[in-house]
This record gives sequence, C-alpha cells and structure tokens, in this order.
Amino acid sequence: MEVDKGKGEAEETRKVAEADRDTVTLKSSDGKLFEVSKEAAARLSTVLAGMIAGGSIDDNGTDLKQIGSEALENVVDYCNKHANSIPSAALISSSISFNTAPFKEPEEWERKFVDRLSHDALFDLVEAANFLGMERLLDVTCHKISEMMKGKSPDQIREVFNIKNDYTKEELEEIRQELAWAFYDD
Amino acid sequence: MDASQESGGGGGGAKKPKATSSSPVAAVGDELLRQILLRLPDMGSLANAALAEKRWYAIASDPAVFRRFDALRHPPLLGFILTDRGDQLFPRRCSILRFVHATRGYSNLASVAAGTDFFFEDLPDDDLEYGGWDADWRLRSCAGGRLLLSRGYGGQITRRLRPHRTDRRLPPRIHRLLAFHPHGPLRHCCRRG
Repeated sequence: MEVDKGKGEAEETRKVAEADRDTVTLKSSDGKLFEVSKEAAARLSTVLAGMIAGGSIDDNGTDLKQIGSEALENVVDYCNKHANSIPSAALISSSISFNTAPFKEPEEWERKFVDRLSHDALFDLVEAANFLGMERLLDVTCHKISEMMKGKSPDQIREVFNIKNDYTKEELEEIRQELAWAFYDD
Repeated sequence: MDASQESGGGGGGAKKPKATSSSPVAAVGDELLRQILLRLPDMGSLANAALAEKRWYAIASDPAVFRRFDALRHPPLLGFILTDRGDQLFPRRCSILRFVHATRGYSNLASVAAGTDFFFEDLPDDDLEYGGWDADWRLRSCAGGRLLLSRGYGGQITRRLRPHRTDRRLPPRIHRLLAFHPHGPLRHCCRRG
C-alpha cells in the first residue's frame, strides 16, 4: 500500500524538471552536499515532501541553511536506514495528537541510531527533525532525550543537561511541596 | 519555496539562536522541550524535571502536558491482601489474613506502605445496634484501591474503604469510615486462596 502511495507521489512529481532523478540533493548550512532518496525524503519529512511536490528542489543542492552538516548527515543516514514499511510522514503527522496518542516506542535500530550520538549531535538532530517536519525522527530523538532525564533527581538532571538552578532555595522548597504527591507514582 | 516557512512539527527549532554554550538544551525552543517532557514515563519524572529549572516548570505545568501525565497515573501497587476465604471476618478474628508488600526496590512506596493501616485496626466496633459475632466487619471485596466491608446479618451494611495512612489522622467516626484519599496509596488486589 505504501509502495503504491510512493508511486503515486512519484507520478505527481514527474512534472517537475528533475523528476527523472530518484534522489534529491540537500545542502547544509556549511555548504556540504548530501544525496537522499526522493521517495524516503518525501515519506519521512513533510517539509521535503512539500518542496518536492512544489518543485522547489534544487538540482545543485537544496539549501537547508538551518541545518549543519553533521545533523544533515544524520538525517540522511536515518532516511537511508528507514525500512519501507513506515507510512508517509504526512500520514503520521495528520493522525498524531501529541497530547492524547501514546508514543510509539523506538525500534531497536532507531535506539542504536540515537544512542551513538553525542549530546550536541542529538540536540542538533532533534532541531533538524523538527525543522524538516520529520515526525518519526522527532519521536525517536525526543524519546532519547527524555530517557536521559528518567529517574534522575533535579540535581542530576541539571548535571546531565548542564543547566543552572535558577530557583531560590525558598522557591524550590515551595514547588517541591506542591509536587510532593507526584512522587508516589514511582 | 523557502524551507524556513515550512517548519513542520513543533516550531521551536528556529525560535532561539543557536547556543554557543555547552548546554544544547538551552537552545531548544519551548515547544520542542514540551515534546521531550511529554515523553517522560511518569509523573515523578515530570516533577523532577520541573524542579530542575524555572522554564521546565512552566512547560511541565502546561495543562495539556499535565493532563497527559495525570491520565498516565495508575496508582502504584502496594501489595496484596491474602485471605483463605472470600467472605472473611475482618479484621481481627481471622487467623489467615495477610498483607503482602510489593514495594521492594521502591523506597517512596515502601514508606507509604509502612505508614498505612491496611486492616483498619482502629475501625470502630462500638456500634451497639449489633452485638456478638455479626458486629465484626467482613472483607467482601477489593477493587480500585478500596476494600468493601460489611457487617450485620446478610452483610447489609457496607462500607467502601481505602486504607489510610496512620500518620495522617482523619476526622473521627463516620467521616473516617467514608473518607478516602484521592491520591491514596493502594491500587488493589485481593487474592482468594
């Protein structure tokens, strides 16, 4: 079914000048070029799907000024690794409501994919996934970051994420009391 | 088409300038941070995150975030009440009625369990309308964190009770019998042997 949909999309984009190519070239903020399968890009990224359908893909490298080369490499890597069985990004984004839908657990390869990333690379990737409208990759990267918080004390969380405590002692105590009931949920 | 107009999911990406500091999470926009916090597994983790920084607290307090975690809050299982009969005399006359703790490894829960009166030791048995054996409370059922008790011939008087914490005294008498804690500790489980 997804394959048919992919073909359908390909039909539509045939009008576009570069339609005979089955890859698109993406250009990072620092000018590096990456090739990615057009089908995968359209399926996994609502933004790239829109650009492909709208014919705004540049043969010489579509500028993605907000994304650095390391993050873009990871995006492309993710697209390439992604199995064909996943519904199109547009389909996912229309059906997910973040407030109600349970999140899908990352698959084993997706876990490994984000586990190997450095802290900085992970955050760059989450921004890139958000920017490109890649719901699934956003899911996987946000999940990974939330796992880094799980079961940690506020102090440990600050240490992991290198953030400063901007509470006064009194404020902290007040909120701690306000939230005390939450901790019975362990 | 300018791709920057198309930002898909959360929108937070381009809002803030890229941080040059060593704290990449500070560069993440509120909406993205919200997406991250939404994926925490339980209310305790969310509360700890909220205590880390004021911005995190503000996002965690967002009603939409909060609602999601509230829905996730399955009251934790403290343990089981074991009986050898379904219609057990309660609390003192039966010899085989045990509470089995299921809190090993959860220090928060263990202290809750330790401070909880599961057998209503201070349940009044001074209701003089009834005398003799039928003045005893019987455990009839257990569900949703409450015990169903009855006494009298045919069990016509029933109370739904949630085991309460002995370190938080409740008002006496009838209020105590009907009171329950909205965030009380016991989920349920009554196994009949």
